[in-house]
Amino acid sequence: MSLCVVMLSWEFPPRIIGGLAAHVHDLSIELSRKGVEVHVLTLDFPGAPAMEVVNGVHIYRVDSYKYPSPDFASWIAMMNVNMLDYACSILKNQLKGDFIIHAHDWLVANAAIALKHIFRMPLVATIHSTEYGRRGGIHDDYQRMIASTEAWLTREAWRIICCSRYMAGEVNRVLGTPMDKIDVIPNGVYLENFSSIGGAELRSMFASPDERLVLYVGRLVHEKGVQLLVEAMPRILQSVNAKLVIVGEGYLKEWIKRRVEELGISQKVYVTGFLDIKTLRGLYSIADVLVMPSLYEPFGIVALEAAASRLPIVSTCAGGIGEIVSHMHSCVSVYPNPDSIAWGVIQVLSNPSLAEHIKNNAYENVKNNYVWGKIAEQTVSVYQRVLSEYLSLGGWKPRR
Amino acid sequence: MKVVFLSWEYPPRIVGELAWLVQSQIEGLRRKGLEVELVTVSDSGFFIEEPVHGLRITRISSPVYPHSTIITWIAAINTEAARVVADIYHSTTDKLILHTHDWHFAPATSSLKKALNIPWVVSLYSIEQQRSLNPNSPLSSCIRTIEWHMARECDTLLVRNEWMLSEVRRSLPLDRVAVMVLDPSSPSWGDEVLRLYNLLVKS
Repeated sequence: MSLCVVMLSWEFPPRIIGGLAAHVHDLSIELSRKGVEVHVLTLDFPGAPAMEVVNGVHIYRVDSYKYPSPDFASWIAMMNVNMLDYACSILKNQLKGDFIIHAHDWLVANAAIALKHIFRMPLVATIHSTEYGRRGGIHDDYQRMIASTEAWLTREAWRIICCSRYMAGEVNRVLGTPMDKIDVIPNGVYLENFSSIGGAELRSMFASPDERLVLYVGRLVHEKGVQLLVEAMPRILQSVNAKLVIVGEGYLKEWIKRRVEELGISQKVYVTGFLDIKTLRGLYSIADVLVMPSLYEPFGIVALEAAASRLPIVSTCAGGIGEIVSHMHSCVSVYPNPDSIAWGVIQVLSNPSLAEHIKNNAYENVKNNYVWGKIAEQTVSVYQRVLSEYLSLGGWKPRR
Repeated sequence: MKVVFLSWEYPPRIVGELAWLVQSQIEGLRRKGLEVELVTVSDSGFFIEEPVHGLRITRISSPVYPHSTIITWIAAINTEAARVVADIYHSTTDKLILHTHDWHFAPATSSLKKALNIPWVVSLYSIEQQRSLNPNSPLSSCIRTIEWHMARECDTLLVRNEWMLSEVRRSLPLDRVAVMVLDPSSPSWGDEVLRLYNLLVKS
C-alpha cells in the first residue's frame, strides 16, 4: 500500500520555536526514506523558500499572517485560515490518490479538521503536550479555549499519537480520549549527530581543567525544575569542585542570575542562553553529568541526546523521562528537591564505575529503541492501520 | 443545481437586518423553484431542521468553548461550516453554488471553492471600514484581511446600491472579481440572481 501524508506543523526548520520543528523535520525525512510521499505545510520564515523539496520531502511555507491580531490565539486562527486556503489549492493539484493528514498539536487544529472534511481523508494527530500539563491545570478561559481545541482535535482524529505512556495517560485523563485510540511512539535521535565532537578547547570555554562539568539543557521555566538544581549547587560544591553550565532561555533567567549571586556561587554557575547546535552537541560530549530536574516532562528529548552522547544522567524521571531511563541502570533517579539532586550528582561524579555503567546502558537503550529509523517504522504502521480502516469503511470516500 | 446560503444570522438568531434579508432572499429563490440549503449559526448546539418541505437548515455551533475573541470563534465556526458544506457536496450529484452574506463564512467558502471547484457569490451589505469605530485596531484588521481575501477569491460580489459600490471600491481590491449592483428588495432580484447562478454553474 503506497502511503502519502500531508503533515501540518506551525514550526519547521529554519523556523524553530521549540522541539516540534526538529521532531517534524526528522520524522518527515525518515518517512520519506521509507518510501512515504511526504508533504509538509508550515509557516514562512525570512529567507526560506516558499516551496522546496528537501531529501524527498515537499515543503510548503504558508503566509503566517503578519498584521496585528488581538491575541496569540487569534493570530493562530488567522494563520489557520491561510494554511487551509493554501492547502486546498495545492492538494487539489498535487495529490490524486488517498492521503493521510497528520496534525501536530492544537495550533493547526482548525486547518487540519477542515482539510479532513473537505477532502474526506483520515486525520492523525500527535499531541506533544497539553495545555493542562503546560500550565499545571486550567486556570482561566483562555487556557480553557486551548484545552477545548485540543479535545476537539482528538475527537476528530482517527488515531492519536503521544510520545510517551505518560502523555497518553494525560491525554486520556485531561481530554477524555479513550486509551485504545492512542498509539505511543517515542521521539527519536540520530546517533551519528552525537559522536564525540568536543575537545579541551571547547571545555576551556566553560570550565577550568580541575572543575567537573555539570550540565543543564532546557528552557528556564518552573516546570523544568532548574531552580532546584541551582539550590542544589552549594551542597554539590561541598563535596566536588564543579561548574554548573545552564543552557537555554526562559523567564527564570534573571532569577537564576540573582540567586547564584545570593548563594555566593556566581563563579561556579554559567548561564549561557541559547547555544548553536554544534556547541551544544560538543558540550554533551565533554560534560561529566547531565541533570534533568524536571517537574513536568511530556517526553524528555534531552535525556535521549545525553544518552546518545554517552553522558551520565541524573534526573527526577518526571513524566516521559522515566520511560527512557531507570534508576541505577541507565540514570541516577532523584527526588525533586535540592538535597536529593545534590546527592545524585555527587554519586555520579565520585563513582566512576557507576557513571560508566549508567551511561553505557542508556546508550544501548537509545541505540536499540530510539533511533529515527525505528520511530518512522512505527509511524508508518499507524498510517497503514488508519488507511486500511478508512478504505474498509468505504462509505466516507470523496466523490471523484 | 442547488444553492447553499451561509449566513451567521437567520431567525431566530437576529443580530441586525441580515437575518431578514437572508430569509426573504431564500423565500424569493424558492418561489422561483430553486433548491436552497442554509448553513447558519446556533448558540445552543448543532441541529438540522426542515421547517418547510425542501428547505434544509443546518444550524452549526462552535465545537470549541469558550473563545477569547470573535476571530477564534469565527475560525472554529468556519471549520464546522466546511464540514457541513463538504457533506452536502459529497452526498449530492447536483451542481452547487455557495452564496455567503458579509464576511463571516468567507474563510471556509474560499477553501471549499478552491478544493471542490464550487462557484462562490458574496452579498456584501457593510464592511468593517464602515462598521468599526477603530478600523485599524488589531481585531478590525483581522476582519478587514478576511474581507480583502474574500473580494479577491469570490466569483461575484453583489452590493445593493451605487453608494455601497463606491464604498467597496475604496476599501477592497476588485481587480479579480465581477461586481454587480442588485437591490434585494427589487422585484427583479430573484431573476437576476438565478441568471447569475446559471452562468456561474455553466462556466
